[in-house]
Amino acid sequence: MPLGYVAPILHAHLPFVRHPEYPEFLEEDWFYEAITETYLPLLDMMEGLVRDGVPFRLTMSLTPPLCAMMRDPMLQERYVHGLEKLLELIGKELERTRHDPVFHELARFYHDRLHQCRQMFCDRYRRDLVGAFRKFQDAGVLEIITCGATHGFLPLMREFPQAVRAQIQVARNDYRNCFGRDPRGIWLPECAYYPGVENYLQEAEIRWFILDAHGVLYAEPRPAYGVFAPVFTQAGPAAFGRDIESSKQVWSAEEGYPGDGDYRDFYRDCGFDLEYDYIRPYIQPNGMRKFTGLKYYRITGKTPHKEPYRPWVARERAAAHAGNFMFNREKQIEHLRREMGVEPIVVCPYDAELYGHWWYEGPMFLDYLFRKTAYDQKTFEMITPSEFLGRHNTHQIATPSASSWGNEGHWSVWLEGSNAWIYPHLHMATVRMIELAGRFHQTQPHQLRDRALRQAARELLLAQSSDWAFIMKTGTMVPYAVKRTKDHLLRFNRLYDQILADRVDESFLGNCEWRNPIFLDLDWRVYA
Amino acid sequence: MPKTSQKTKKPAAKKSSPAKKAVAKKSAPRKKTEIASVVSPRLRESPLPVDQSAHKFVLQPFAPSTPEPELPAYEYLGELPESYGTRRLFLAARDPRWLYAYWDFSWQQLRDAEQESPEGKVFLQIYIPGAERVHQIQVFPGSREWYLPVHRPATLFQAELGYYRHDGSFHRLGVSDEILTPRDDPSPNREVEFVTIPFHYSFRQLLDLIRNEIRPGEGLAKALARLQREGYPLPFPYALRRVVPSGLADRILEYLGGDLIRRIRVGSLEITETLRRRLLELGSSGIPSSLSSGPRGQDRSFSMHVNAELVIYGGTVPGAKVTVDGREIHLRPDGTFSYHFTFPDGRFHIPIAASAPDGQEERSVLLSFLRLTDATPGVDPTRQPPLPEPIGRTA
Repeated sequence: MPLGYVAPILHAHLPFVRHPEYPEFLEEDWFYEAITETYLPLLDMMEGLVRDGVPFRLTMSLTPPLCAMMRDPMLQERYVHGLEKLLELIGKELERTRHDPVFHELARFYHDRLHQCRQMFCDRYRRDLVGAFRKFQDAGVLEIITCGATHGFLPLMREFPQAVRAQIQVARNDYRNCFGRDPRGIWLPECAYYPGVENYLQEAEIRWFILDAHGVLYAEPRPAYGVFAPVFTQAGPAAFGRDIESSKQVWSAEEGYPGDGDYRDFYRDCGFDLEYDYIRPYIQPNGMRKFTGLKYYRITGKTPHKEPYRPWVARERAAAHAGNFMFNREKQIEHLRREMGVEPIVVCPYDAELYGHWWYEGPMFLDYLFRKTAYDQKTFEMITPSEFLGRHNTHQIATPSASSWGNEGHWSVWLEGSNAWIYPHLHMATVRMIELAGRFHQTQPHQLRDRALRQAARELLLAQSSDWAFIMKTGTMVPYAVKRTKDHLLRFNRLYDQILADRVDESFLGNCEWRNPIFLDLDWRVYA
Repeated sequence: MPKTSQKTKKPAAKKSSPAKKAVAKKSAPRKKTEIASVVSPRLRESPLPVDQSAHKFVLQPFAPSTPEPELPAYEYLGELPESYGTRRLFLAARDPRWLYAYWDFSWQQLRDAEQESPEGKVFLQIYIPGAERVHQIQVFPGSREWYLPVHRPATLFQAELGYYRHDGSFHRLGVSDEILTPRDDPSPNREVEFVTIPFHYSFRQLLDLIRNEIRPGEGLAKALARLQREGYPLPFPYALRRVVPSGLADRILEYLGGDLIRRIRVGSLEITETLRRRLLELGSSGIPSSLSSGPRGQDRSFSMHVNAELVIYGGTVPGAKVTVDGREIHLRPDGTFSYHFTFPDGRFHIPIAASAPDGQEERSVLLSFLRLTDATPGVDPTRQPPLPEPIGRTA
């Protein structure tokens, strides 16, 4: 028997960004970059672990907007098109660097990686990434959990039970469509919790959720085991708290792995480094440079001077860091087991996109971590929270503290000078959606009105995405986030007026549906 | 430096212009009188000014010289209204120390209320239900929101908006829900109550099992725990009372760093941002600042950084020949061109010439730029993505 457990959890989420009205759209790149650098490498890692018979457990949230994008034929096509362009560029790079063995080798490295991406995406998975992840869930090594339907910040809609319920129920229904079963866990958007959310989770049969450490540590009453055991909320769903030490070990200055000088530098990118005319066909249509993903330098050190990247050295560092992480978890779990007298669980949640996209070697690190954990130690086992609750079903009852995983631990990232203006509008749209549902949910079906009601609910859900407030706060891509918020609200308002006046403009409605085809079978009656 | 604390941001946030925002000093929430005439930010064409230190200074795409292609259908949908006039008063506990209130009153509604009021004043009041009032703020027409310091974790608050009648009673125009500020420390309540909830039973099945035993308002887990204590027969085994080692909760908390938890509470999203910005600042060479060194320390010190980039852009007819500083450049198929490069101190003269595809006509332009930086100590150059060096430098 192990002395304890470690539950690695990756939160894979991107806001729904899809712009059929433009031939190319910069913000769609978030999704394409994440496919190449995070989702495909994680899938490749799991393929390898399963192929080699390595026992492992991973938990991932795949949020409904991300799943919708993964399943969207237009975005799939655009991803393949972008990949073809990159392959064309890397072909030129092989030629350009032919007299420079160091850079030629790097160009060859990317050439192979990109070809592998195309092979995986097009041939192996036939563009179906949701299906690819589902396969690992069905194989019992990956637990996929859900999230709010559009990553809506639940505490700031708590006055409207129907809105919170809609975020949960629409997500649960979408999960069923994607994965053929019910979700057992949820990543609350931004890990944002207020006492009472658990009632909506209970309705949806969701058994557990994750909080930042203080959400559990400051629970009422004080949890005896801190964050190293879940607590059952009064309604039944369990809350798991994030471990602080393992977060620090990945990110802190002393031990922070991703800042190692041998790892790939994120910012030195061919899109900025190469001569303009040469790179022009591969950057933005308006001529602005952008990241291409071809990055030839390593972090090197605290100097503007950068040395070329050495993939094989970086791989060795990832292995060493995985060993260090494992060793620290062993020591932590030995200590906790002595103190607690029962098996502790160490919950390690991260943004999935940190692995691969920001920290290029992240998936490699995870791969080594799973392999070493399986073969090089006996202190702990990897586990998913559902599996843990299956093995250990007796826990303390406590009500967690209102909290989020944002800066300062509460709402201040999503409710401050740059973004507070959105809430009166979001709340008004919510009131109106509830009004519409109340008025029409028992009336005779009416095809055009039902379509309009469904689209109104979609627009409201999309406007609620916490990503927009987050972007406004962080100050990059702000105009886009402002426009998205306004556009969804304005579309909603127009549909609301048309529905009430019984004058639905079908061409406008069709345009909305064409732009935002998410939750195709959404039941707007959830707002009733 | 990365901004890791909202507390440095002025809570009464809406300022009249980005420039004003940039020089705003740290202070208590400011009275709305000062901003009463400011156009509501939701009517702005441009986004609100945001945390200046967090700006990435990405230049917007240049305006092409060719006419804008026609916008897609329904691309412009108008503007959101300034208010809806629903008279809703919303109160949220932003964190253990701050409340946030907004009210959906139109300018006219607040103006009318002022005129109805004997004193000509409308107030937002925050109080602890059944106890004292903690804030009274005069509200002016055009104002919409307020950030209120309370510094009282785990306390119930309520807001009301209205005016005082002659007899001293308060005429309410709006009242918020009661809201509770979150805890900011571990609960003193050390009661330990265990319950067994078998994972293979759905909540629905469990509720059905104890439907006749559950008390009004009692949660499923609470009811199960009570019944399990009483030895109620259930179709699954459940644990008897478990003994927790004495003082364990304190030792666990100590192990986690005690009070340090509050100082290292940085969400992963923020870590991502911190990582990204630190990398930018260190010229892509660094790693994030130590979480344990405390975001409330050095990261909040005052700093300033400035830099400039130059984008030259233009267009002619496709097939024309264009030279920039004597060098022939490639045009895009539509005849446009652009250059984006660093703009350090110096004097630059950049001649640009175009000749028609048939060589019969010429046009030329000379662009001159001067950048002189005169800064006080402590102003650093903002890090830039790698860009080409400027051309046409003469001094």
